[in-house]
Amino acid sequence: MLSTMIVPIREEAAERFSQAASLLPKGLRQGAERLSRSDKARAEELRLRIGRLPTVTLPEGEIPLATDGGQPVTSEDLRLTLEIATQASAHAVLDRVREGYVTVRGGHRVGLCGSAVCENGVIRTIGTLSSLAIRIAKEVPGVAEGIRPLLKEAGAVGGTVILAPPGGGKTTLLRDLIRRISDGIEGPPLRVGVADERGELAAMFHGTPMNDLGAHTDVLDGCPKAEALTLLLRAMTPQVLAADEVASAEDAAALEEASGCGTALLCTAHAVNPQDLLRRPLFQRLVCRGVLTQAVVLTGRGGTRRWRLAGLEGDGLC
Amino acid sequence: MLRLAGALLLTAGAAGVGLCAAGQLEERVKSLRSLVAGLEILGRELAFRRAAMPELMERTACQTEEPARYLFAYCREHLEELGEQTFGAIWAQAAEEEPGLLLAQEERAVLAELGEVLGRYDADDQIAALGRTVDALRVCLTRAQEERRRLGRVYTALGVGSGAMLAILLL
Repeated sequence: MLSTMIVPIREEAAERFSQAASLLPKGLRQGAERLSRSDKARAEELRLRIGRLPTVTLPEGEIPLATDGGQPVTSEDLRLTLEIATQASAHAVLDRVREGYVTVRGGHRVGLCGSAVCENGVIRTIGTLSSLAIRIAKEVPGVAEGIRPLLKEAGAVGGTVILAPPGGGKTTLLRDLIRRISDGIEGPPLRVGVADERGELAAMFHGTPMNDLGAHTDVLDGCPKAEALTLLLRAMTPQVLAADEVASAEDAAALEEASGCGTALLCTAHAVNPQDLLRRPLFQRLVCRGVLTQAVVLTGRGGTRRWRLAGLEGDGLC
Repeated sequence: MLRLAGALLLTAGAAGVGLCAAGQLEERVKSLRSLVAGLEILGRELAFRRAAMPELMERTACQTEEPARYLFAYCREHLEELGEQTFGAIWAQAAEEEPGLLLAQEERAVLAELGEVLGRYDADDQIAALGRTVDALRVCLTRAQEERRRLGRVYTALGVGSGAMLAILLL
């Protein structure tokens, strides 16, 4: 099954770009503000690197943005951007800074790079910043249209993993799929528990999700995925559990635990295709144990992305 | 009759000036006391809640007495301006703009230094900086209390005395 999803150029996408651009200090904002509305809607990231002009990442690549007097980005600009992004609350997001990113109002993610300060072999914080990448959150209702009826177990999802390389649209697709399952689109409404560790799916702000995840969705954000999945299972009795970017052994163990409780699973992982995914022992085990049974494989970038459904079988691995 | 009224006015005026000067000393003590208390509340909120800066400022403003309340309320209100200016600048501006704080240059400098730490480092570092600021302001408070004790009476006596003397001369 191969289907094409057209990511529409929408006013809302341009608004989200402007919201992300407002994280930039005043002197760096003008180039981003001067972009055409269509480019704003297509933009995926804003990048700042010390000594270089800021850039915007479009589907065709990075293009430089003008600044006041053509000044390149300074370390003070990076510090200011982080101060804006955290609302001058480094202490409240330090655990996320240690992970290398901060999720801000609107669900945008600010990736951090620089010199890490370590204590006893553990990253305490990122001391001197050298570059930042602001990933623009995208909510595209309708991108997951047609997927749910094709999933195994009569639309009850089963164990499904969405695959794509970084920046391939996994989170956007997962978000819409959650909304459709929760709202009863293309199937009965189901209770969905979302383990939103990085806050990108729901973009919770003061207890309210900034993104629409449906009427029957419970979100636990800011908590390590493995613990969140267990807590959700225990406290909210979800019919479907969803988590973005499964990567650690703890995440996999929690998924395995949840699958034995009759809860359907939805997650995402970095991989180009099922073969790529099954090179990782973590996923070999999940597939062999029947935790993950199918994959939605995303290909392409930007305006037109395609998805196809593939079965996951651990032949020769289990 | 006219002379008597003039003498009374002179006495009252001069006494008023003296009392006003003594009152300023009293207000300064109150201001520093509310500032120290406010910063201690901020430290506690930071230690126990580790909330984001808007909530920290709001909670601290609610629990702090005037005139120090202004400092926290101003910062909360102007946090939207991050990007146009730094939090440190907003904090320093708040300390500058409230005349009721009656802060000396040294105290403003101590507060400005704190503004450069707040929101920028982890909670422990910020709490340590708050502790240092509170200690420095306590020293200023002790000095202000001493000044009030020493000069308060002098200003009052001078005001009333000079008023009485002018009245005698006039009569």
